[in-house]
Amino acid sequence: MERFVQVIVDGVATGSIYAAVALALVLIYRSTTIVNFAQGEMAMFSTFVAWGLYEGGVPLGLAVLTTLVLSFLAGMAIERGLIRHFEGGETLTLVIVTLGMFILLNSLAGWIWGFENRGFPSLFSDDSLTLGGVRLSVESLGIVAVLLAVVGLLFLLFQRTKVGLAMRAAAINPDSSALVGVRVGHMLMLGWGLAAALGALAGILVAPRLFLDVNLMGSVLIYAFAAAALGGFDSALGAVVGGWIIGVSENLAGTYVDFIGADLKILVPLGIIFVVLLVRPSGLFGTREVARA
Amino acid sequence: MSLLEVKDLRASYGQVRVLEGIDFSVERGQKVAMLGPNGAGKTTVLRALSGMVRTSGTADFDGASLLRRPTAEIARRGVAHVPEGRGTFSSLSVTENLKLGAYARRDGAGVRDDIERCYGWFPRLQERRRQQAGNLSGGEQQMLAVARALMSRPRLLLLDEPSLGLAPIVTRALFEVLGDICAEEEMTVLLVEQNARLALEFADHAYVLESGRIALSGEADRIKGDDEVRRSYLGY
Repeated sequence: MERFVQVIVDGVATGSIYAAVALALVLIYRSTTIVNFAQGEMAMFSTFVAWGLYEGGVPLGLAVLTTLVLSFLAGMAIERGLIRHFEGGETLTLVIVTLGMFILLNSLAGWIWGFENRGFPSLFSDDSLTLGGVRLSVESLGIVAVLLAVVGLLFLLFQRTKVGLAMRAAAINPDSSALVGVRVGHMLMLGWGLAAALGALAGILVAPRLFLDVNLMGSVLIYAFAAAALGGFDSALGAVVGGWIIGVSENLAGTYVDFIGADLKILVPLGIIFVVLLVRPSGLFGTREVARA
Repeated sequence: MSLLEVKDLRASYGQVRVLEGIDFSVERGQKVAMLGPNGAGKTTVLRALSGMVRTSGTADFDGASLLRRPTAEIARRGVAHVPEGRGTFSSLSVTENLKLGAYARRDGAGVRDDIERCYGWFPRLQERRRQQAGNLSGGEQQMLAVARALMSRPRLLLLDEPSLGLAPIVTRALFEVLGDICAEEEMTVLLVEQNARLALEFADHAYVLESGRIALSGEADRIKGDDEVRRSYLGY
């Protein structure tokens, strides 16, 4: 029983990381209907920046904060400098552009920082708490807390501020938004900036559990895709719930289903994507287009 | 001097020329109707003024040029545009739609007062203030679109086919409220409408557009009274 609870909590923690990347995917998808295949590599690149700062003697907390700010700015620059030219074009073009960015960032990171594994320090202590006979690692709890804080901040931003309202408006009806004076381009830039920062946070949270190398986010991105597909690509709540379900089911399957183990865990998200697309393509919380004329 | 002075306005969608060089003006506090059959280019006149199509010519608005600016900047200069099809933010609430209308304003207290004023003009919207705007009826969405435009405290209100898709009785009620609001606020309006009878009752001055050119213009009362003009250009 204790083991079961631990597996669940660890699953929620891992799931929170998937949820963060899924949220980043959703942020960009909602405003531009672009599925950003480079989201993971952007996060990996950011994580290397944090590692570089830390190795250069910057305290970890400051290195992380600096990285988040830099990632935010870089995300805005990518939208303005690259994506803007293709927005509103063919979906396939945009897929190729983001895939191109994927390869570019991957190679660039290898060229700058090399291809070997690096250890990445954790933001949390490696202690654990015992609650009712269940041992919970501080790191797992910390990751979940960070995700909840991020979700809360995003909620406040979108529901309680004028900029947030304008961002939602620009996503729903760009023409109408421009007619009330919303600078739609700025809102898209902001969306990309937020997504990049969110991805960076996910990379920094996951790196201590794996090793930091250029393929850090490869499988995380697939899990995040599964989370976003499960929750609904246009739902922030769906991204979070989807992330948790994926994290927990992956952990459960890895622990209790013998033939899956650690090696075949990746089958879980792929299976979930497959079933969701087959049964309910809009996901658990996604909107199916319904309009009254 | 006119609030809006348009000279030789031309516009095209790709290779297709829609406006072939038109001149018109709107005085401060005046209600001007732009009439004409389907495809005459009425909507394009408004879209040109809001920077939503490629244009040439000049449009002088209170001493500054409107053309070739981004749509958002034109809105921020005091031009509120109620687009054809109403432009509802369908998954946002009625109140959020109204707040967006005031997006460029900096006076929070004034915005809250104006939301209440809009609810005074359109009590139906107040009843539905928390509902998703996409669930409103067509007439209610048109009221919302007008209210949203008024929320910016515009110097010029552009109305594109407010009667489109509405039942006659709803249209009539809407125009009645519009008339009241314009009188109360001394609003300057440029109205595009296919329903010529209704538009001529509402407006002070009218232009008739035909195949991208101004075919005739004059006092609304005079056009209304001229049977020949009515029959040949307005079809009623």
